[in-house]
Amino acid sequence: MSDAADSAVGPAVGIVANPLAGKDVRRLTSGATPVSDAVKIGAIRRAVVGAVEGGAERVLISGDRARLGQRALAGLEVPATVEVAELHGWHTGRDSQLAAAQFRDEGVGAVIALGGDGTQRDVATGWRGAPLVPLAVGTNNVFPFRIEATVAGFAAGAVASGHADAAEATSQAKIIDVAAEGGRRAEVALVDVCLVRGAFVGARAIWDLGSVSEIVAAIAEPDSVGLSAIAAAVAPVGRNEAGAVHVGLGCTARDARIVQSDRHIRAAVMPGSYSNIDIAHCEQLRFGQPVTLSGPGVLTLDGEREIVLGRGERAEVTVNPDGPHVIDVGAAVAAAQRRRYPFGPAVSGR
Amino acid sequence: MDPSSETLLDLHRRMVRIRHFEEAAGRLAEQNRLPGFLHLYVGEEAVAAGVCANLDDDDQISSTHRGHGHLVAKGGDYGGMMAELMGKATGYCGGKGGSMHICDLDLGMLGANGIVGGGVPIAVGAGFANKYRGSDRVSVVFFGDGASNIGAFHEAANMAAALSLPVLFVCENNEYGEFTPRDRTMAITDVVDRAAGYGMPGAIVDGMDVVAVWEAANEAVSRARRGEGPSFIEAKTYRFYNHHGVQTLGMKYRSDDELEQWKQRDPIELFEDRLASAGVLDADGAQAVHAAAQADIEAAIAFAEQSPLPDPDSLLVDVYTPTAYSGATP
Repeated sequence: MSDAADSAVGPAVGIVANPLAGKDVRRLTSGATPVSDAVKIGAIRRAVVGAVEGGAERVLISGDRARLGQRALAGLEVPATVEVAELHGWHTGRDSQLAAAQFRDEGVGAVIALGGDGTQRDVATGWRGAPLVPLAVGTNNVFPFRIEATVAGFAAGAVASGHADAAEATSQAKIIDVAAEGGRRAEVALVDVCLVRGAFVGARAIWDLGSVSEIVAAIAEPDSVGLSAIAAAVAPVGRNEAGAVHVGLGCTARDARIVQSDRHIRAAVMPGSYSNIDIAHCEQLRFGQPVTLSGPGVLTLDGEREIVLGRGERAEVTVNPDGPHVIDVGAAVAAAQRRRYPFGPAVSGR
Repeated sequence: MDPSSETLLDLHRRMVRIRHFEEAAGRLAEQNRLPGFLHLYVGEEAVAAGVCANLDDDDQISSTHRGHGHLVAKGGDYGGMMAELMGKATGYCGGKGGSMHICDLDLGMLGANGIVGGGVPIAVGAGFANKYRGSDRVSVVFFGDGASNIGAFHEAANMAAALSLPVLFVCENNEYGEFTPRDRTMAITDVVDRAAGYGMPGAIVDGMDVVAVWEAANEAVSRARRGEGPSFIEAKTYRFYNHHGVQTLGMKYRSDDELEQWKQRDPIELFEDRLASAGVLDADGAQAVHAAAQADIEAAIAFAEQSPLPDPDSLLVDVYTPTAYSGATP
């Protein structure tokens, strides 16, 4: 990899693919779709073709135990240098975090992340302001786009090469900073941070809504699925709107017998499952306005249990405007076409 | 979502009892006090414990050549197990089965199995019987990543899904089939990818986290009891000892770094840390569980060593059934 870094001259695109995305316990607890390796391998391959078509001269793919990158490249011939980065060997989301940080250090101009909300969070953890095409290949896909990998790759390649003007095609996402007491652990999230009862991360996903007590959501859109869908039903906030929302939950029930009331909403909290939720309180948050969540309990980041808070331990949660620079695929393709790429006059690359 | 404190302590006790049985068996084998092959389950305890804690005695499991942990987790008796390993008449199978064929039908343990993948159709057959009889029993099959390449697995998985049988498939993916790494024998990384091909839901869990395994198994067992058919759980795990025995036989098929990395995630140590943080069990309390298991295993070894070998006159007992076939349905 160090040799490659030395030779990093042309526009480069990085691809992060999470081998564990779309395979967790939510396949058993709800109707969530299983995402096989074959789906990911195909998407990587198509994204590589698109990225090179869009102007990338170099494509780096994160390494993983499933060897998704190597398998995607088998027999593929493209007029660019395509490499699989070294395997970091954690076999967890940390692999994706380290790959994103490596891409930043190597001057990558755009990152394509294949996975659900958790994978996108890993990329933002490793490279906070990454120029990012988030591609939905996971379970909960609030943050990423459901769009074909070929054109997603093209958009990343066009932005990295300057064939599409980044200013025309990107907008900076919000990011949620989570600081557990004593600086013990600092994490980020892109969609929501919740406090749930319990003392174990267990199988990580959340399916017992009765355990959820508080939600801080940076994105709470009416068509969201996940815990942020609860916030969206109370006080929606779009991904490109300033601020966030903080909701406290009362009792919850999966059946529909709760009586109609202003305090009750119904939302798609898991794919294939609607639930009734009793809202205890709700407040709008400004950027930088802290919310304190107190243990005992477990903090979920974008729907996965991650941080255990002991009794009396607290975490400060703030929503900030300086997250990844998200590349709008349609806007990027249109911007390149306005310049008549690849047929028009040459455009100077970055 | 968390298990109750009672369940947490139960999970811990089951894991510790597996570990002490296996460590003792390994020591005895090294001293040539146990005959035959010995496949130790050390490192994989969270899988058997997390699954079996969701089962009743009426529920059935079928097991593998690495089956001691499954029987201990199902509530197996140390004395009968150790005597069976030593080939003694007081063993679970009268001393004639040994490590790889140990069973206890009273606990629903349908048998360890020396044939790789052989346990899969047995559990599916039990699942068929359970459904046919209209009972709410669930059967569970434990099998390895290598077994998922065997024809019997594929036929049984297809049948379980096609007939919507109350069966839980638990793949203990420890990355090696005997001495061969998984990627030499399979073009996929996650065995769970195969579940979709048979039309059953499947999930990956961290096999070193007993709470994660318990949660997933709890959901899968509930699905089966509700009549929603089979589920598939792939537990990512690792064995700390060799394919068989304790020593490595000088065959370098796993790196020291890899082994060390997995040992950093020892399922019992991880769980004891979490139990202490959660205020459920402190270090002294955990030590008492270890001490009790150790005392039990020492008593079991003494019992087994003092027990007689099978009488030569019993040579053909349990080989042929003494009961004439009546043609009656059960």
